[in-house]
Amino acid sequence: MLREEAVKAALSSGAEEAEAFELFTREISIHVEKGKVKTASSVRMVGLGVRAAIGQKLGFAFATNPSSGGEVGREAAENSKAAPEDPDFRGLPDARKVDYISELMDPKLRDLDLNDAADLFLAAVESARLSDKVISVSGKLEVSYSKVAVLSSKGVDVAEERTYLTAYIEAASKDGDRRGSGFGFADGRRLDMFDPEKVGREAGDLAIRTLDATTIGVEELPVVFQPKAQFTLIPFLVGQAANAENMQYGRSFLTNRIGDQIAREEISIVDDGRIPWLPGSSSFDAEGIPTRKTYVIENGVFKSPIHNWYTAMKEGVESTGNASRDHTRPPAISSHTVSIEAPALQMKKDELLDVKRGVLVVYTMDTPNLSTGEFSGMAETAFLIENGEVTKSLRQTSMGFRVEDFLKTMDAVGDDVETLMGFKGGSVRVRIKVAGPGA
Amino acid sequence: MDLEGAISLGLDEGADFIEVREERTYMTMIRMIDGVVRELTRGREFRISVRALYKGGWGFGIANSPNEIADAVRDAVSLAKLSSKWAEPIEVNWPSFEGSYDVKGRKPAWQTPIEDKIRIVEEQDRLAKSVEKVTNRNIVMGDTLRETRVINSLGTDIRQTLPRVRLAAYIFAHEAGVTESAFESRGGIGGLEVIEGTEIAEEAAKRAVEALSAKPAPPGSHPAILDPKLAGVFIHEAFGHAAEGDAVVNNESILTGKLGEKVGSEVVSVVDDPTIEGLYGFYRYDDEGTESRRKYIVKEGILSGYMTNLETASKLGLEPTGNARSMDYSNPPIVRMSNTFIDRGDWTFEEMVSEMKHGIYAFGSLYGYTDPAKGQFMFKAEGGWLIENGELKQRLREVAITGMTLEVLNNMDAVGKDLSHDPGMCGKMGQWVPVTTGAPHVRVSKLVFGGR
Repeated sequence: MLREEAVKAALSSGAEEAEAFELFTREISIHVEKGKVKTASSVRMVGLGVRAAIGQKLGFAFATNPSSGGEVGREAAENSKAAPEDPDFRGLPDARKVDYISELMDPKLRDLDLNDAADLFLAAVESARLSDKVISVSGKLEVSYSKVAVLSSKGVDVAEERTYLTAYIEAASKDGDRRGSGFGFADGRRLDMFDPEKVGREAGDLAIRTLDATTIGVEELPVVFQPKAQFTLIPFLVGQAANAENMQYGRSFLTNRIGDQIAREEISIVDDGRIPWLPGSSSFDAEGIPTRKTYVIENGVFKSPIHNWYTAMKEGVESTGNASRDHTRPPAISSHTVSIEAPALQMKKDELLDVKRGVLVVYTMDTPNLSTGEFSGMAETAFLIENGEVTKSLRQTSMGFRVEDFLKTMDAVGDDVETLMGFKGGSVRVRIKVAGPGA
Repeated sequence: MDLEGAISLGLDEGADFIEVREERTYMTMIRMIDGVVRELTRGREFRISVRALYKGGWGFGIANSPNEIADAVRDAVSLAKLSSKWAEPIEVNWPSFEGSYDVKGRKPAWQTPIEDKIRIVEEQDRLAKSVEKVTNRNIVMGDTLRETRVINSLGTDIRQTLPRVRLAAYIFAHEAGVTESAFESRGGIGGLEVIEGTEIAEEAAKRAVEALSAKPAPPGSHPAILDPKLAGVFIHEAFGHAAEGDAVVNNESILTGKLGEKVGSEVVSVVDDPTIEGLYGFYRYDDEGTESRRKYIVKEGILSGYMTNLETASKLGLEPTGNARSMDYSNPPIVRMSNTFIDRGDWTFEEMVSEMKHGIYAFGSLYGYTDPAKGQFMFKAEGGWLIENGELKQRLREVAITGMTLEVLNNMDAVGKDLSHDPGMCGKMGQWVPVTTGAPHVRVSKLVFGGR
């Protein structure tokens, strides 16, 4: 096996410790443009990433589609000889007992052939054509099966199979000179987590509803963020702001804030790497450490950062199992699935909209500023709320707030729970400033 | 099996068109944080990909070694046949190209000992460390050498070797409970001479410190001046993506059907030019083997061209512009930009500021995105200055601009003489390719700023 060859070669080339991360991926994809299949694709790849250490000197080497693991192991050892010492490096990870999750690999997804995948995806494309105003539907379905393994001279020896599906549909609409667009999205580790009709209909519906657009001026309003508008916000809070590396180097606005009240006390924010079938879940992280559930914010108080082995050892604590990487880079830190727990603020989805005037944000791609904790970005797809009714689509609408204010003004959490892109949760309602060119 | 054999096999299997691409990439990366080398990586990648067309349907397959080429060809052809069940026919009347092009660089990075590269990174770290109030220094240097060959059933046979080098600094500063950061990078095609003499870490450090005294930008609509980095990212993201042939053909662009029409003020000209040697987005041949060329996308406010690959050029009745690119050869080539910029005008930055009674000077770019169908965009600047009575008065942070692309191009009323280019990576459909964005300073009569 590549990983065994690599570890053996690194050690025999002078490394004191060595670790190999091996990734096999088989992926099929269907790419649709203008409603027609554009490309069907089938790709396989083997990746090998090797870390080798001599004392406090650490080197890394990788190869995509190597013919053997030995050369990569030797190169990692050579790199460790060339590397200057890192005083905070306390060795490669020790072995920890891993309890394997069985709900990560769906045989139906693994065995899905391209014909069936194309039929499935085209059903979503058809569902997006809700009227003649939808002039184009494009998108992509990707289905992958992977085998991930970590082997090290420290006794780490873990391996598992995972499947993953991601589907997105974009619909463009036109009515005279008015243009609109919408999208639908799904991801998961199980085939039935992709509902083609729902994803297509969502894209088509948004494309039609965004044709009728208006603008607003500068106002402070109740703003409802749907789940798709939160995956760049809430996971960022955990994966970046509460990322131990960013805190240790003083890059994050949460540096030195452990124990501080940063959200209202009804709110907890958790990272969980073990929820069955979610894309953020795995039995072990990219260093072979078991994943777990971590309360990052508990009852409004910032409780814990997320760690990989390096940052945990630097602080003398246990890794939280949040090491992440592909085979081309040494491990970084990422969140798994982040969710808001706030049972005291829970209400029905429609009750969140019960405001005189407000904004419903369906989608934003923006993230807060890591060092200041401020957010300044666009409500990419948004609607005006008037007297409890969602009315016109909004264009050129900016939003500005501090993340702490977002968490402290949050007065409602909806029951419309969705999981996507490492986030699990319902709509939330906050009070923030929005700005546009004027009504 | 060799690549020529693969072409014959693909045609025997019934493909209307078949293309085989082989790629070898070698890379080194050094990441230093606060003076400590945290990452020292060397890597290599090898890929062969096969793309087949059958009655309008494309199939794409991969071989991980020469032994697997025949299987990849059969895979690609059978997938193309599968796609063709739902596809529209495509006429294969495309041109072919033969040639080779190698860039070596004066100081080839792949022949430079790793210790010498570490010294370059250390020097940048030292520069940033010398700036007071700096609390975290992140210096990254990466170099790649990419050797490619593209052949197809129309007779195209292209070999190309392109070395790239990039140095980047991400610096944090802190004072009295406030943390700020700034980013700066240099990079291009060639050897280590591309990044010689740069003081990017010091530039980033000084800007991070300067930002500590910044106030949030005032939200709402204001006259604005954009610096070359931000104007360059704007023209790339908001306009360039809308001028890509696939978006145009698919009717997903605000520019569909607008060739020859006025899309901006007459002071605006936009160019995409992969032939500028040394720039990060340079290539002589694109990833379909088409020879690259300079072209105006907008000339004095008039839409004068789109960027195309073989297929979209044919569908639009235009010549292919050599804009087919793929991140690596496990991805099919799609229409992409190269070195895209607003051409120079005749203003100076000082003239623009001195004529402005009230407005915002926004500079630097953190990120941006656009919806080419609606024509709506958002860009996050690194910072800004409030302008009052012709003077830069107050440093601003959280400077985000949103707007409608064509409105902004029409509201652009002054373009500077000071064109400059910036290296970056552009993402589209999950594929990242090296590009440069570029522009002089530009003035826009009104722009919507976010803020709190």
